Amino acid sequence: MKTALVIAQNTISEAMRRKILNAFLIAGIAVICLTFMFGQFSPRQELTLIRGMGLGIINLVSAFITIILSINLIPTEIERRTIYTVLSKPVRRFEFLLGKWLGAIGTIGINVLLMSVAFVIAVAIKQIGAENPANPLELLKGSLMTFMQMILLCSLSMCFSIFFTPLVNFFFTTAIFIIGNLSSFTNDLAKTAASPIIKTFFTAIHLVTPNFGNFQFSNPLVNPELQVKSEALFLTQNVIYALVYAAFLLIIAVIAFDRREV
Amino acid sequence: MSAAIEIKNLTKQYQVPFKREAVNAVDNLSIAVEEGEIFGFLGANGAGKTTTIKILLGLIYPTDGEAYVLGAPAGDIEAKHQIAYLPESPYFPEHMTAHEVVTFYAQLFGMGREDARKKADELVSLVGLGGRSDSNKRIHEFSKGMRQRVGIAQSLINNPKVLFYDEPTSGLDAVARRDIRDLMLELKSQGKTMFLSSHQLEDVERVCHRASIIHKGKLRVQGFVDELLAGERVEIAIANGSNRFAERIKTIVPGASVIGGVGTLTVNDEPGLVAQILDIVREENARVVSVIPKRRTLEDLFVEIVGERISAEGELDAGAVAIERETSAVRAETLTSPDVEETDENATVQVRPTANKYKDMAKK
Repeated sequence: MKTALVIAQNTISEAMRRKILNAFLIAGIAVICLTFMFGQFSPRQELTLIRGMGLGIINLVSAFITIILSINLIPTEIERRTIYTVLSKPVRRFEFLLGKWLGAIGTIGINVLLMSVAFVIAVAIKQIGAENPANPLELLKGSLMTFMQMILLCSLSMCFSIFFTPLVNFFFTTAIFIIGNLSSFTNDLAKTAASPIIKTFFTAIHLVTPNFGNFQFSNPLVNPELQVKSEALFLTQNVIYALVYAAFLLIIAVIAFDRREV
Repeated sequence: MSAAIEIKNLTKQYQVPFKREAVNAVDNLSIAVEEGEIFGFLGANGAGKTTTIKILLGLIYPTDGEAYVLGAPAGDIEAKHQIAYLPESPYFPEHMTAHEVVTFYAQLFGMGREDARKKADELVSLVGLGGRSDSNKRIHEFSKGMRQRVGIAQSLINNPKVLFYDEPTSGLDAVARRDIRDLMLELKSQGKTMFLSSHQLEDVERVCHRASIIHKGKLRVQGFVDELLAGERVEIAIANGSNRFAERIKTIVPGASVIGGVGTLTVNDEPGLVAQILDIVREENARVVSVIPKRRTLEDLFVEIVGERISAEGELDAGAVAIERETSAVRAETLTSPDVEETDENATVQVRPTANKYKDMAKK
């Protein structure tokens, strides 16, 4: 585990220097700050808009960062041949993979955190002088759900990277992310479709693809009158779902990587 | 002494994409390297050297055969505590300093951060990067030679018993090459086992106890360097040779070529042979340009083994020079291969000197 942590630390320090990821982060923070520009709405509408946009931007930018980071994580190591010097040391392949995964998660976590802090500050400033201001820290629950979603996305992409080239991986991961975000839609189609073939198809899609849509926590945050039955249960369920699914994908990746020639 | 590295009938096959063909990158290779031995592993580009090293490190897996390092199967984690690897043109994270790189690799051996830093201090100084100007430099500011030094530093972290060096002096200037060669000699004096893959035949000659040459994945020659290079030779340059002279020369040096009256013959320094050639020169009114005693080099041997590559393209056939090979004097093990012309004792092997065709042409 110590070895994996050393690799993770190195991965974070390298990833945080990648210009493209920094560009996404800066763009994300900039867009969050730009939400202040909405002046033509009523204060209540404006706040709703800022919350909705902010969480959406964090989600979108995090998804870009996650996909770009994780599709290249292993292939770059092989292409640059850094993996040779690492795996010729007493490092087990699963430790290497776990280290890279932890490093990617750490990098994504830092990015989500930085955007969330900017978002919370923006909302707190906007709420100054407002009647009955909501606790802006509540918004961090939305960020937590985004982070859990990204853990799942990163695991999926990293698992694919053992089998596919980065370009193919990019399209596969993005497609599955989009389909997974429409999980409630595919579920409805599976239930309501008349044709058994279509029903089976959408049921399979719904069951096989990770349900990224489950992590959408923005609605209750944006519209406080919408309440989930049990927030704690909702959060816990999603955290467990993300971690179990991610662990499953990592196990597949480890098994495949163990026999892969580098 | 026991074998530090043992390869038994190793074969690595790659499937040709979109074809039902397979290519043997390594073909039934068997090698044993004793502890404390510096073993040169030579071959042309694509001969299968790096593939073999990667199998020994457990980075790729053999199609057939077995490979052991320090008695453990290739890739064994415990054995990796005692081995080191320097890849050809190593890459390190560009934003790091040499010290940070070595610290990172030291931590992969389970060292604590402080111990790893101390080790990095020691090794970075050892490879000559400990100076004030170099210590603050990031890898992206390093020259190829400096990167290679970082590679060597990371290969010495665990005070390894066995080192795998893949082209350690490739692409380096003369000074950097000398420094790395000196370091290898130092490791030799410390009794390390080294598996050295290199194109720099001069380095191999100076550093290695034993050497092998592989070609197209097959082992062609293996033996002690001194034995491989045994046998003094003489190079005789001749001018004004007539057709009759050329024919007479061919009777004692089959395959000798005299074109336009000019030729260079390289023969073993056998009693009477040179005198016999010189007699023919006198009798046929040809002119001796030079008679130069030559030591056989690893390059000569390398050219003999892998030279077929260029000659197969039909070049320089006219310039073929006969080199009489004193097979009985060479105690080295010459291995059977369908691609190598096997000879009887004291027989003559026609060898085409094609390592540097331009040099050969200039000679003629």
